[in-house]
Amino acid sequence: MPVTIIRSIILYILVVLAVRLMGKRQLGELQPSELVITILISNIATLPLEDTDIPLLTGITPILVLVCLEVLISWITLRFPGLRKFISGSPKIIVTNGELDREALTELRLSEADVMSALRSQQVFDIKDVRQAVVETNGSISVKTEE
Amino acid sequence: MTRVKISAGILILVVVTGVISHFWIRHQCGELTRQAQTALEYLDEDNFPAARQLMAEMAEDWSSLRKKAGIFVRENKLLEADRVCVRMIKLKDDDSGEAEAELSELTKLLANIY
Repeated sequence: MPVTIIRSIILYILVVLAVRLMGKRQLGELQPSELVITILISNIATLPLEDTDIPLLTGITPILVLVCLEVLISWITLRFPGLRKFISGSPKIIVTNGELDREALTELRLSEADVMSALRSQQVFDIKDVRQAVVETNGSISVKTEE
Repeated sequence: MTRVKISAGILILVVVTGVISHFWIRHQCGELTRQAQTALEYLDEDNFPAARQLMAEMAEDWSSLRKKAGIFVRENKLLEADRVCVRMIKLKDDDSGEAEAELSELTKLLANIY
């Protein structure tokens, strides 16, 4: 039991530090790679907690590797926009001057109802008021309305 | 930029530690395996005193390795090897041939320990 408690404390501190190392990006909207890393870290951290046969270092190592890779790749994508596009995709315009781009919606597997729901969450109740709506790489929808 | 440097440093440290630990454990297990094979040869030649002495040395070497290997290797694998070593020590003064089985078992365990 004391071993489990100590391991829990160590892993908790490690995961907190890992999230700090990844920076504020993790606490905002997540890009696909960031979402993957977050899910992986949470799953990996439970393994040495559940199974005390696993050496703590063996549990810590994958967390450190993933976090460091994420930080390094996000830095590299700053310098190589093409790589960023490959990893995160690019924003897609779905509404222009009140008109839905149905082809873009099909590509994104979004329904009209999804778009209207997202617009309503941004206090837009008529699509004709929308000058431009963009689906960002993190899945959120940004809206510019007619002035 | 500080985060990037820290991340690069940690990654390098992890990779280096992983590589060094891998080769170190393989080397140590290789040494024990060679000793086990030498002990088996002694037993084949009925050179029991030499075999007993070698098995006693092996047990000490394993005991030393086990403490450090615990940082990198799963505990259940180390416990299995511990059990075999204990049986080997008990059987080293018994010339019935059971020590050979334990030595062979230990060799197999060491091959898959890491």
